[in-house]
Amino acid sequence: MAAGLLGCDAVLEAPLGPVASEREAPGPASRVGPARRLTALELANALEDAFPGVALPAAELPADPVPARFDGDIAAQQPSGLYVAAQRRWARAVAEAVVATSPCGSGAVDCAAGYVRDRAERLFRRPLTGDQLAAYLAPLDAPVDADERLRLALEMLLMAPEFLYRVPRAPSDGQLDAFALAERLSFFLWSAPPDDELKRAARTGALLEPAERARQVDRMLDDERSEAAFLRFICQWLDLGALERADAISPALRSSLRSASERFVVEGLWRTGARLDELFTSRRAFIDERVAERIGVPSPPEGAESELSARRGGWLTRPTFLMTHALPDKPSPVQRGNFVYDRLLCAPFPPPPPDAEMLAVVPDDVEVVTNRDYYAATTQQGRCNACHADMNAAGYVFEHFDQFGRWRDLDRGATIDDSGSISGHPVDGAAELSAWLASAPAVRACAAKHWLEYASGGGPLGSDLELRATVADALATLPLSRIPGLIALHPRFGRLGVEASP
Amino acid sequence: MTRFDRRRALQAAGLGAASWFLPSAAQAGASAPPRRVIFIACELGWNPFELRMAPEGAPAEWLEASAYHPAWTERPDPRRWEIDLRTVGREALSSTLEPLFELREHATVLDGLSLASIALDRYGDGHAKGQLHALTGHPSARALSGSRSVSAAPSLDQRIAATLRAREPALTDLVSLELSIGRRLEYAAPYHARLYRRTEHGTIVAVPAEARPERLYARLFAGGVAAGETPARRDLLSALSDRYAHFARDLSAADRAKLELHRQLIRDAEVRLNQLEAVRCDAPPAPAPTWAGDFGDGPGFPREHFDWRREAHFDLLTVALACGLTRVATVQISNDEHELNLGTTDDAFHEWYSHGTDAPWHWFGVPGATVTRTQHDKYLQAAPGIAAKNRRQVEYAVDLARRLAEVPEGDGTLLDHTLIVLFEDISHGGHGHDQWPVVTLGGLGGAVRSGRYVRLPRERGNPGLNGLGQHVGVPHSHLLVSIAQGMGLSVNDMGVTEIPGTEDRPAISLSGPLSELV
Repeated sequence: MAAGLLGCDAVLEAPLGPVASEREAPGPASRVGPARRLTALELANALEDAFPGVALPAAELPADPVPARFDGDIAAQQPSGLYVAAQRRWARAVAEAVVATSPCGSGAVDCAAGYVRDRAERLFRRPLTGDQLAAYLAPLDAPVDADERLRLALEMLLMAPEFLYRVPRAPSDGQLDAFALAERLSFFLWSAPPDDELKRAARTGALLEPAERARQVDRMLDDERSEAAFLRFICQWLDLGALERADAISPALRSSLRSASERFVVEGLWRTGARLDELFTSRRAFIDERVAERIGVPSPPEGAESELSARRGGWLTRPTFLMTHALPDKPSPVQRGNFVYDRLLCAPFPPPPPDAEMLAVVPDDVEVVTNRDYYAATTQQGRCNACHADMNAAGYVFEHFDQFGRWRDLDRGATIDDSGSISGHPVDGAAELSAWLASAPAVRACAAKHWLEYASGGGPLGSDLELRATVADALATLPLSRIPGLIALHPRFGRLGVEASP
Repeated sequence: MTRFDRRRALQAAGLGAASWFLPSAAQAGASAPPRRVIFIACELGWNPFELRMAPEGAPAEWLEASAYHPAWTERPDPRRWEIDLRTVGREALSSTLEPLFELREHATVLDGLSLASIALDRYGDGHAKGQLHALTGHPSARALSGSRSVSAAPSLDQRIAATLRAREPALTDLVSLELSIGRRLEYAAPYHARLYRRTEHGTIVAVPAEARPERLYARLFAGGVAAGETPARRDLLSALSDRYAHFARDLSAADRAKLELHRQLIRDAEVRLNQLEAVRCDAPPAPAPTWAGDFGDGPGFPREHFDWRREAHFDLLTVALACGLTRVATVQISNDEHELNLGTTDDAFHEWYSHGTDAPWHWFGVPGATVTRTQHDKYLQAAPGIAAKNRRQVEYAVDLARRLAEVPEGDGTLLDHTLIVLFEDISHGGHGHDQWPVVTLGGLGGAVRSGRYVRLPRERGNPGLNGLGQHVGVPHSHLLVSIAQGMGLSVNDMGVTEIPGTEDRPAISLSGPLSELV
């Protein structure tokens, strides 16, 4: 599994709550849903589908200006001159690469027209109208040589709105048409456009029948691309992209940590039929020698799965989380506690006041020995304590883990106090916190919210309380690998409904 | 008149054998050279004690009053003074401003402005507020997340670009250039967006910056047939523009706005290709990158590459200005380079050096000071690092000014018709926005009287909203208005006209130009 294709490094780190809550209120149903631009990964997968066997150049597209938790977030996508320039550059490079393979041999016009029409249907994910066909075949009449004509036609397809934007369409009563449903299913389950079989089901209309839809969803979930899509969701929800932003971690260690985290998600959770609770309790690990040495545990055989000690159950006690939520010289209970409330409980704290960082100074009359002492002195004075009382209490439970994710018995020679609390419940140590999170309904509700927002580009499904409750309930009993199917087969997933705005 | 230094330009651009046309020669016959403005935006504040200047022989109190001395925190300071930089010796300049010496007759230092419009803004942390207000002078629309905010108004550079383009059909989207120097800088500063444009549908969208000189080069110069930009390819853009218009027809209003912006940007590319044919300006050699990073420019970005990017960006910008392609530019500079110089990381630089340079911490032991020994010790260690950063930033502005001064134009040089504006997001490590220094270079075609250090009074009452003190300096909104007017815009404010007063404090006007600038 290529790390680059998972897109774990392409996601920004903004909290989700305020962004989602301030989106445009849903309007009455309409025939056309919101336009969502393909992400860089979706673009790459779409091209692989349209031009199999061609060595395609990678897209170097600038990030969207508005940070979002999920990279397909509609609200974050704004075109810019820089984006258009980069996309145009890329379209030219792709067209060059395709034409270099001589798809039409000597360049006969009939072949070129057929080829362009066929690629257009693949790239646009639905049959072309007469108008579209005329517009996109027009470059084949340009007064240039045959190869250049084909390049121009392909460039036009690759810059076309029908390719770059997904726009769900619903001809009647808010039910997506078959092509729109196929597109929504495949991008959710595969981060890729519909394959030939799904398109056939769309073309015949069979996909709109529940049984066929279920068959297609089962088929897609059996494909390894569904694993990658699951990993992609987890990466973005749990901010694995923080690894890419961590200057203090060497490239080699970063690579090892990313591999360990991704394998834990795919091999330790998805493939084993694990439930959500095991995200917080599982001791299965896929670390290499470099990571093992860094955190001071025995090195497993190369590539082998290992079992960590009871101290390290679940995601929050793994080095990736611990190292990316620390400062270079000390662990950060503030960052760790904030992550728990923000990402796992969907209960973000309000923004700090403008001068918050300036208040973080140890008073001269306060003795500081341990890391906990330091944070208590600097962040729990006066008005800061309104937020930091809870935030820090969730972070202090990790105090046995230093900034490198290593277990420590003492902190600067002093006994470590890892008592804390979560949502008012006392917990001692990271293992107790993880156990509490594993059984907390609030965590399941938060996971459901995130999953649905990921599925729908940042909001529409995530704000559907009924669907969210259904998914949250399922997370208590069903394996994680069955949740995408549950979402994909839910009636709301196939409707335009709340997505439309007039 | 200084000759354009062709050899250095070629070196900075990566060497090459292509012709190098003296672009301003093409405009030699024009009536009056156009005015241009370049904003250089930095972050994490100044060390005020290494920047401030007082007239020779002035009592120490003059500096204390302007430098967070505890005796002055709650008192107005109506004093205004001006130092003629044209006549001072190198030793008379403060250490931060010393790099101005050679070009001091072109420099203006405005000491005592404040980002007062921030008093109206409820959103974003100190950095977000400073970065957003510096060029908008307008409260943000909403919070984006805990520490970030989204603008409700276009930034001044984009307002200027839109106005000039509407007036002069020959201009293209290259009328404004948005550049960045550093890592992760498409929307530099790396954390908050500074630049915003208003779309035709009235929405405000962030504008990214180009981090890579080689791509800037392609936008500026790789537009000829030799580069594949054939008439057929231009027709393609035209056809695509039509497709976007067609595609957007049945979408929601919000989506139509988004697709219309996309269409407009494609149309801009087409217009640019057509218009550039008429520009009499040969392309310099293409810059050859010294490091092949991707858009993320992550860890491993070498120190030397900052210099290469800055030099190449500055050279290309100089040509774009001189050729008449560009009238307004922003250069956003990250702290990555300083972090590497100091051997520290992003977080540590922010936490240790910037926070440590909280100006009131300077005054340990002075009656009335609330600073602790711990704070003062931290200050003593951190402040030199920020001062070094400030000095380098002034050096960068001077370096760009030198390039402009080497291009003859009209009766003077390109620098005479340009204004370079250097600023930070915050005043100092305390994250405040009062006493916000600005350094400019250039004459803006006679709109700016340069060669001066101007100390502005700190006397305005303030409601004390959103972190501003009881007394603040002259609102920077006036500076923005002055620059806008200097560039020919008919504006008298940045969209907000005053900070309302209270029962015992007068309103603060945000309208009108800055009289001290001319």
